[in-house]
Amino acid sequence: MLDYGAIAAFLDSGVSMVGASANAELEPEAFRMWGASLSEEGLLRALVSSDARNTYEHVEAGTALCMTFADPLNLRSIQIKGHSLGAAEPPGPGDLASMEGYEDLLRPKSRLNGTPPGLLDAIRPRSVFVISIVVEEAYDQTPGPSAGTRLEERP
Amino acid sequence: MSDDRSFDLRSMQGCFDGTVPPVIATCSKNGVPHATYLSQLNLVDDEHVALSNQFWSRTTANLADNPRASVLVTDSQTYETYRLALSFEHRDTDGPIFERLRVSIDAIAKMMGMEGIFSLRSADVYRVLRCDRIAGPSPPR
Repeated sequence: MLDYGAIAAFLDSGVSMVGASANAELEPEAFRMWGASLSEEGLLRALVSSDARNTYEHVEAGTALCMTFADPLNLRSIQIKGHSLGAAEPPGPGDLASMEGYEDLLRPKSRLNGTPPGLLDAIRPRSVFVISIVVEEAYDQTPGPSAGTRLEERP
Repeated sequence: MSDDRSFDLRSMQGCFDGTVPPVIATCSKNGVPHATYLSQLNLVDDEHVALSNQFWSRTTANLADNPRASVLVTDSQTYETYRLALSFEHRDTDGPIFERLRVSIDAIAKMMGMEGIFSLRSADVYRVLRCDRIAGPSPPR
């Protein structure tokens, strides 16, 4: 059983968020996210940059997805894998508030690691869509010998 | 497989200096995607880039079955972000491309206090199939 609470706390700590999907031809698409939340039941709601057009078009119920979250200060990273609950959706008012909350957490950390404020502004998505996935696996992706270790397998 | 040659990699020098960590996505033969950060993208020639391979067991396994990859990279000078569609061609563990990346990775590791952890295993060379500008200080055209 995954410790969804611990993963959720990490997501809420101002971490960078990227992910990937793949279409039926196994062509992957990397994308950036601007906020994500994880419920106690392992349902993740991700705010995906709308430039990920292939992902927007081909995600449907059961599509495999991967998302990686990294702390910009110490590079601690967690990767989750799971399947989409359905097609991409437009964001609601709560999601837009989540984007602002996410940026409020990320910006101070980015400042501390020397990221120019203009760079953060430039990579900030101008719009997002929502993908909901059931988290089934989680891995430690922190650079080093433990990278790739399943989280629930750790002592 | 689309192959759009309407891009000029040499005009994107700030994408290849290791300042902003790129992101690579690959996909297994079973359709499971994988996304991870990498340290540096290096320009090889007008049609090829090399990616630093340090810890990528899953990425390497995926590429053995499926050469397609997608990379997000941000230009440190213009702040423009590009999505590159790539096809893996070969892996260098020595030679000029590997040495160039190794020197750069060693410098990044020293700057981050991660010597011994950030150790280059190979320089993975990819053909660039497509390059799309997706974000920047002004909206993409």
